[in-house]
Amino acid sequence: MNFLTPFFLAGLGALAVPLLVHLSQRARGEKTPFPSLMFLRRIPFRAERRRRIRHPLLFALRALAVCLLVFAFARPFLERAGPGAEGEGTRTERVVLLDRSYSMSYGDTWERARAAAREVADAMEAGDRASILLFSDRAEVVVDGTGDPALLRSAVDAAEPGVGTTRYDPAIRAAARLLAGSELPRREALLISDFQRTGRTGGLEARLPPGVELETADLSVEGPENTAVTELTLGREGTGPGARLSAAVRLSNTGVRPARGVEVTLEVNGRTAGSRRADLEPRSAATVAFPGLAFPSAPSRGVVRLGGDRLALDDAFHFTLAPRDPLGVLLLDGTGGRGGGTLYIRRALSIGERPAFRPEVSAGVPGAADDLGRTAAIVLHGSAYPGGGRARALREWLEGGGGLIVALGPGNDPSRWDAGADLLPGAAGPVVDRTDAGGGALAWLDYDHPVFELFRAPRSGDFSAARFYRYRSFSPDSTARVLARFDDGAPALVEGAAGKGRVLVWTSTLDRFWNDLALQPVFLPFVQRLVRYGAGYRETRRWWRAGDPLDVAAAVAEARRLAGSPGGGDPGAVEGEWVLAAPSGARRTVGVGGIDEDPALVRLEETGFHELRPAEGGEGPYAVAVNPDTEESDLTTMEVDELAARVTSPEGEARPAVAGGAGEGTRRRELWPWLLGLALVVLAVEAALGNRLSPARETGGRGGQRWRNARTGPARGRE
Amino acid sequence: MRRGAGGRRAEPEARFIDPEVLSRIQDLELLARTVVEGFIAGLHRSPFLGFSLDFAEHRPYMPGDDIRRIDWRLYARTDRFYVKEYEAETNAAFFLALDVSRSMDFGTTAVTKLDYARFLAASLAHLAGEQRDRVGIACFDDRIREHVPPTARHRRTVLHAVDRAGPGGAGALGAPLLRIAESLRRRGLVALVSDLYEEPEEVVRAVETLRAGGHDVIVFHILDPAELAFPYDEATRFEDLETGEEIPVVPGTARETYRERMEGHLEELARRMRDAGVDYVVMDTSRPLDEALFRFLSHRARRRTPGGGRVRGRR
Repeated sequence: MNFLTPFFLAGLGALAVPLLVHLSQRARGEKTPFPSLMFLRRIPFRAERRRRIRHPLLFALRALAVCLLVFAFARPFLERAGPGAEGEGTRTERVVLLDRSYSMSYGDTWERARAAAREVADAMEAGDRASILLFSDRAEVVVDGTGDPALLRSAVDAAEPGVGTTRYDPAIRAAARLLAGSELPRREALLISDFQRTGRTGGLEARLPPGVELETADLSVEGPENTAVTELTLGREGTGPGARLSAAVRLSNTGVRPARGVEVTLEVNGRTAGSRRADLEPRSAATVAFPGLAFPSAPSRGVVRLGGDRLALDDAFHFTLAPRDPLGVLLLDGTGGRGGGTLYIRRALSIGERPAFRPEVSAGVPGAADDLGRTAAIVLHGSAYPGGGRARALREWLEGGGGLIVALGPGNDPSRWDAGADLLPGAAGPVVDRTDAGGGALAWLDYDHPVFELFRAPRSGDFSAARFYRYRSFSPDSTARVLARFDDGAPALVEGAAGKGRVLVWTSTLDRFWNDLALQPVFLPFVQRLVRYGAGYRETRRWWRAGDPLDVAAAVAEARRLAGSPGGGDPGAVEGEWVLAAPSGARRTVGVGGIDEDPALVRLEETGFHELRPAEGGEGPYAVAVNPDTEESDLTTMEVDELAARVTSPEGEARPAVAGGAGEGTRRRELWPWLLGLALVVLAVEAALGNRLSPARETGGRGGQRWRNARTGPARGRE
Repeated sequence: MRRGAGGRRAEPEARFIDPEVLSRIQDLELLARTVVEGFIAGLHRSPFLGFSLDFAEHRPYMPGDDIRRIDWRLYARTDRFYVKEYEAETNAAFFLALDVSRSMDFGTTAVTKLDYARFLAASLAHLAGEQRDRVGIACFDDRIREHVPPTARHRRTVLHAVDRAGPGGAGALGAPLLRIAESLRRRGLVALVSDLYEEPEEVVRAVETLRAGGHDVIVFHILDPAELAFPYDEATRFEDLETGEEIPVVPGTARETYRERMEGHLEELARRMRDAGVDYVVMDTSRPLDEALFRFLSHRARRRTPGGGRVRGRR
């Protein structure tokens, strides 16, 4: 029989206390006053009588109850050892879970964590085994079940805090796997962490196997101080060389004390573009603005830096910056360029920054596809698809990735087009007149589509208020996707594909002629989303979070587009081997197979500027800015006991037999519940027996009251 | 039959002299009057003949006797001259010696021994006053704490002294009783109320100083029931109330021996008191006061018998 907490056996010493009290000649603290001791004094005091136990059975029961309680707290267990486990004694399997999230780099926390881990190596005895498991949002076993303390120490010394966030669930899950496979009689897990509350994010479902003891090394600091850059919003005012850059830096103070005069510096291409000071109250956030900066004319790198504190990683925020021309939108209205029919579209597109549009009204398309190079989308509104050479140029442009939006209003009947009708995702029919019924309405929208997903949330746009008096019937083909329908089921917006380009058919007008949608608040965002989608616009990602996967092809394509390279923006055009160089100098080579291959994803493990360049050739490099997840900046701690209670399994269960051969391994059975129950039974018997054996009641004097040790001056009637 | 306040059967009058009932009476004079009147009312059914019997006997007429004392009715019946002889009212001195030593401040019943002694002293003083006796009192522990000489006018003063009597220090009988004996100029009746925690020979020696002064002495030995039965069960340290001395005692072991020694002590006291001509009464504080009063009156009556110290006179 072994004990999980043998130090509780020291409680057996408590048995000596009643014995010593009983055997000592010292009487109880309470004294009994008596008129005179002249008779008592003459009675020889025989100490041996006191030493004699009056009720030995009662005493034995009490002593037994104490013994049972002590043994129960010592948590004895029986092991039924298989042939392979005989003689293993108290060999222990330990797993050290070492938190390497970046909050562990706060002050000297990491050194303390290392010291706690080294203690495990120092405490190892012959036959023991230990594993080292580093974790943040992922768990990594760096040493798996070794009995060599030197190996453990070297692994601990080599470990460094990462850039990840704390997540306990994967760590506990990995530790459970390691411990479940152990055949040693004792299994322990040591969790070394600063126990951030955010570590529970995403749930805490994993449990350690039954019988595993969890120790914790709490390295949290009292009253932490930490400021961080949590968000950056970049804006552009104007276009061309006179464009100005504005930056809004969001700061947070997750500490318990105010941060005064925090210096915030914005650097662009290594030069300080601006500097501010900010005051932050405890557990609050503030925004610092840098308006009116010169917008760089070429792709650039920028950093926002804070005055240093004890957690440096979240004090710098990296980003890339590149000039980006507004989206060119060609509006063909069939009016010879006067633009009367496209007034509402033009006005709607003239407002907007992300992206900015450059609408141009024209009577016809250029004669060559190259002339459409700066055009991202074309809107045919009241204008038929052109014929002749322009038709070929438009088709070429469209299949090369352009976006065509066709509004089937009056004078734009595809059945009368000379060319291009085959580009539409279906066949147009006669005009439906709903004027008699007061107009129709949009009854169904595909909110999963990028055009309408903006309006998915309640009260984020009401299309049903718009009245549609006329629209053209449209029969979508099998490749079409209907994005909106009227209340009679007729399609309102249909999407189709043409090569790499997109064709969007709006079966009514985008002005007030056939409907009043242009007067509704949803018109402006709808038109912008429609054109943005048709143009294949993608937000330029200025930074990534540490731990994010980087799609190398997409990143290179976007960088090429920003650099104005031919074929930019097309991930399929990116091929060959690319090298990702981390800020520390670590390099990884990634093979990119083209558009038909699975995307080549690389996990970003460091913060700062990574560089992408081809393994061969002089292209690039293209910068990828990576910042830490500021969730980790919040150093608020959780209740360690609560965590321990959640990840440990209920005690007292039989440990399942472990693998290692039929009949081998150990089975542990804890005995404390039985001992505790037996102690309760003994105490109950003792109580019953004690009542029976209590000193006989004697009555005397008046009223038959029970005699007690007398006191002087009781209940004097006269004062 | 009625049930007394203490829950036991008692005569209607006896319940007025129950210590538990008396402990609720705040006015000591009222208490004494209640006790005495209740007691006297009870006497009507008792064989005791009363205390106001003046006529003593007839004797033959002798020359020189006042012829007005001749009992003419007896002469008519017997044709002989007899003279009536009466008990003279003595105005005897009654003196209370009240032990207020610390050991008296002990009790396991409704009253402490000192309370009981005070009730008894007040009742005796009242009873004696009713009989025109001169009443005095001395409260003492190891010396006289308060002293009121016996006069006929001091009955209320005596009651006040009894009322004020509180527990003093360590007690001793020899010196205080000697002082009392010296202070009493006229012979009378002395009632000693004490718990007598001294050796019997020392107690008797102290009492004999009173007897040597020609006084009749009645000793009321006041004891708590716990002092007699020693009913304790917990092994603790027992503390002497007077000296503060402490000794460990296992009551279960010491009980029998204690009782034997206490009974021996009481028997020895009774024997020595009897030999010394002293009336000795053991009073248990749970018992009514009527026995004490009865013994007092009996003793007083005996004083008037020949050889009992009576004072004769004629009228």
